[in-house]
Amino acid sequence: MKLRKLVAVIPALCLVFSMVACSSRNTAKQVSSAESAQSSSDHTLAGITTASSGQTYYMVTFLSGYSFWTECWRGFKDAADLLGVNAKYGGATDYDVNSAVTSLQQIIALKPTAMAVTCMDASAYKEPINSAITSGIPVVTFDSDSPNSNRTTFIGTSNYAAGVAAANYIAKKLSGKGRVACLTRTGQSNINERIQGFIQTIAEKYPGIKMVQVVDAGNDENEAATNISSLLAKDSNINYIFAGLQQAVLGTETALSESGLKGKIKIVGFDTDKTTLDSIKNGTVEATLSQSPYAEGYWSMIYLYMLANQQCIKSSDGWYKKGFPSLPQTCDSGCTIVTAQNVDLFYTDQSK
Amino acid sequence: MLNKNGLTENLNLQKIKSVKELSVSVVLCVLLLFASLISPAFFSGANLKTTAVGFSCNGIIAIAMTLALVSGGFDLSVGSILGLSSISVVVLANSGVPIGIAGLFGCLVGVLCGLINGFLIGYVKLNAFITTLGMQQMARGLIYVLTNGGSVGLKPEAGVNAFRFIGSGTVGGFPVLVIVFLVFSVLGDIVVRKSSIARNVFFVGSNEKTAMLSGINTKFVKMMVYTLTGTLSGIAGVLTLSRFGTATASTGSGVEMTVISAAVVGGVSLSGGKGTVAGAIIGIILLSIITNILVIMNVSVHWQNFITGMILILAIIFDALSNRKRH
Repeated sequence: MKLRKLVAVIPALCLVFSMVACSSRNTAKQVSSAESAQSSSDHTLAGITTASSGQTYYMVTFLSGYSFWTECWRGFKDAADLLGVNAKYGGATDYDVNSAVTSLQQIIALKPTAMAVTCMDASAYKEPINSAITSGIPVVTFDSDSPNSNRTTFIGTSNYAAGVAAANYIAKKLSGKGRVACLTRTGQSNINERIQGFIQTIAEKYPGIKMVQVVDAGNDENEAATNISSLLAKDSNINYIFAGLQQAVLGTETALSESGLKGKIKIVGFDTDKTTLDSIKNGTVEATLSQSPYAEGYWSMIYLYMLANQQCIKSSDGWYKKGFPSLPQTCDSGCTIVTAQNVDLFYTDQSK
Repeated sequence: MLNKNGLTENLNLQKIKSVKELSVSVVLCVLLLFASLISPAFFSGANLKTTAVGFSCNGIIAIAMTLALVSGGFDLSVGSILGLSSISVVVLANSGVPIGIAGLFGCLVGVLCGLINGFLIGYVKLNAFITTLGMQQMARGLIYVLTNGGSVGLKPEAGVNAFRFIGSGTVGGFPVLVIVFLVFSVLGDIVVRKSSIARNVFFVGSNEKTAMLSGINTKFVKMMVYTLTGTLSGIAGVLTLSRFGTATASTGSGVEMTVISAAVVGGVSLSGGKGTVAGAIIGIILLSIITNILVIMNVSVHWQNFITGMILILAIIFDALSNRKRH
């Protein structure tokens, strides 16, 4: 019995010791890198990059592995390579606020130099972001913001604005008169925001355009196709369908071709997956929206670097701690409408 | 009496063979009547055709899921296996492998995943829930690796058009995919009702210990059940790809829940030993029609889940009440 207790206690002790050792080592490293960066009298880029080598920056997402983040990460990593610092990518793989926040807190516990975070839920992320900042880790948010947190900058285009852009594009094409439908996914805030932007713009700005129906895109392309087919069976007098997420684009394409309405109803999609780009090239999709994921990642890293190596900016001594405004609060990464005219620009080396 | 005859009596085979799907069929008919009153669009050829195409792949998986449920377990990995099979075919075909061989490989991916599940559940005696949940995540993880989180389309190479015909073509106005589904369903229903192998699954699901004592190789039976769910999921994956021409990171997401709930609505017992393929198929049709009606009625997307869930419970209550009356 005693032996059993001992066996149970030893790993627990090991865990505690290793935690203490790790945190003290990390803190020491953190302090020394910050000190060396601040005490560096060399204000040239070469001097600062020498001082900052060895720093580790994190990009943290939810639903990690999703293609949009892969493109953000490419930008983040490129900027980190340029600056000669380490970049890491982390975050929960599932779509669950609880595990996303847990994963974020675990990364904060690793004491990275600074981190870029995309927020699955604005309010749920507020506390973890603030606690990271209190413990000396500068934070910027990208793609999805937590505006009430103390993050320095948000880099991205709001999803709402992207929905507005889609509505304006379609309205222009229809000269303000026609019938439209759209696909959303219930329970996913970023998609809901863009659909809200779309619906409200149509309702408020374009009285000549009728919003026929909002259809749920379901879990995969099969559900999206089935639901859009159901709508078309009832009402196929529609000019444009705005598919607010990638799998909905594929589902809508299939539903239109199965209903013999390919070409009659036009599709505006979202994001720049290779298959969506291919569909624009072959004419089955008219346009898609790009939120510039590479730029979001790239500029997140640059902003973080400025925050972690404050001697880069000489606006006021100790500007970061004093809260002296030295970086923009928001940085609009832009939202571009991709059509057959400019589609070639959006093929990356990865997607070719 | 621990021989097979005794078991047969205990099981009351009549239960298996009786038209248990009758009550669900009544619900289905009521629903059809309701739908026809709501909108003339419901009974249009286009609507019925696209709805049938939509549930065909899930229906094929439901055949195997019926047996998994009857054996006293279930398979949570079917959706991910479907997706993994789809993406495997795309990756192989795009790297130059003839599409026919790539398609066969997709089915094999299903067989292999199913065999692993079956071996672990049957021979290593692991819990079906956790084993198939693990397989679900492993397969979804591989999909993410292969798609890089996005989507990969079939390159338009030789044979791809013929391959796409299975999923998107029609014969005399009838979708090929639906024909494939009907063939599988009829065969599946006959096999489950008539064959002695399938009967062993019922024995195992009713009382595993007694089945084992009466000489049934329960480990083997379980392994075969999960190999079948894997195989049919693999086939469904290949068919899904032939319909869409593209595999995405989310292909097959949530299919397991649709299929399991459809089977249960169709009278397949969650505690094992009871159920028919026909029942599960009617369940799949029922669920698809509910979604179809909700879209036709323009019910808010935020209410749709609630209503689907409510109808699901009502259907089960109706089934339970009518069962009680019959006995």
